[in-house]
Amino acid sequence: MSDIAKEAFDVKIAGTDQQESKTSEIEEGDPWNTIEDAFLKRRSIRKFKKKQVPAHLIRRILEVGRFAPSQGNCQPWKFVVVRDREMITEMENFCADMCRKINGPLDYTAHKKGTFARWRSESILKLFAKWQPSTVHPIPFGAVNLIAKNRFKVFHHPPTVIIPLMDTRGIGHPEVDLGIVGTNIVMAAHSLGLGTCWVGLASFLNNSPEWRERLGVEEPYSLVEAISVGYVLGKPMQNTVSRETHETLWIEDGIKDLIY
Amino acid sequence: MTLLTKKEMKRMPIVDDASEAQFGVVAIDLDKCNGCKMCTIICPGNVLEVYGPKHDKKARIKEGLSLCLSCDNCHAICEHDAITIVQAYDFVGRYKQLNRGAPSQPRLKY
Repeated sequence: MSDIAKEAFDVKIAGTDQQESKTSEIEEGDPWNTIEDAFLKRRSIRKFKKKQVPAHLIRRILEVGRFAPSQGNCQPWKFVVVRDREMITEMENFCADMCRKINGPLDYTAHKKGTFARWRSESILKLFAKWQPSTVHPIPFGAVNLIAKNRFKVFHHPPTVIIPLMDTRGIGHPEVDLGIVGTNIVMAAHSLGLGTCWVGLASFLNNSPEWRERLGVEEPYSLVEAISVGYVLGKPMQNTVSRETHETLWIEDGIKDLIY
Repeated sequence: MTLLTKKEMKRMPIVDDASEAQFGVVAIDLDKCNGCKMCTIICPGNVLEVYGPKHDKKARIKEGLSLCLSCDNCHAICEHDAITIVQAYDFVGRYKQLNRGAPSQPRLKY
């Protein structure tokens, strides 16, 4: 059992034990509790050990996922678990091929400034951006570039991939519910000492009839994200990280204030 | 009032132009870094490398286009507290970061 999990059992952080009177005892500056600490120290893991995760742990994680909140309790998900290394490699190769196909004509950084090839690529990118602007945000653009150059694996070679398929008939915003069920899965895995990483580029598989069949993605389901799961290499979660502070609008007693 | 003009919303930053795309910047304390390579292994942007003589290697940002996404995973894994993010990424045009303050560790005092 990992240290985090042990601590969790020791202090009985379960909601039923956290009485209101206890909450009011917490004062500004008191240390993070076990759950807060788990959220602060969770990192996206992109390097896994080869060792497979026992099936009962994955089952356990899915159980925690099953109890995620959803709009109108519609539970708009269906889980697919892939624990076949060869299949995961094939999935990686397929997504990498798609990245190469996209990156080839769009990657203007491969050409010198002022050349015709550069102008052509930039023009194609501008057209593409009108259709799908968030895909050519510089960060995913860079990730697709790295994958196309084979410097990065789409799924990071995990022993297990959990794919929460989205039921497109979900109430309201099923994408949000999928994010919530994924957070349950990721945090449950983290509490068991496992590493996880969200893989957005896995959505390429959704557009391939072959992969839709192999992964059992049928109407009305849609593959939007995948989660890689495995044992972590080294100690990638020993320190907390720095993140930018965000401007927050604080409305109280009819007064609007900005805090950071 | 809008935070981005219509013109800005349509403008895509050129990633290899430093005036349009500022990627993350990490500071490495060379006295503390022992060249263990862990940060280079986990970096999602493939930005870091180790260099130097055989028994005194240190981490550094690779030359050329750096795609650091300021995730600070390198700081999280570093056993010697030798590396940390000092500047987050930011772009001009559509992907300009909005309503952000300076990077900070989790805070307990407000």
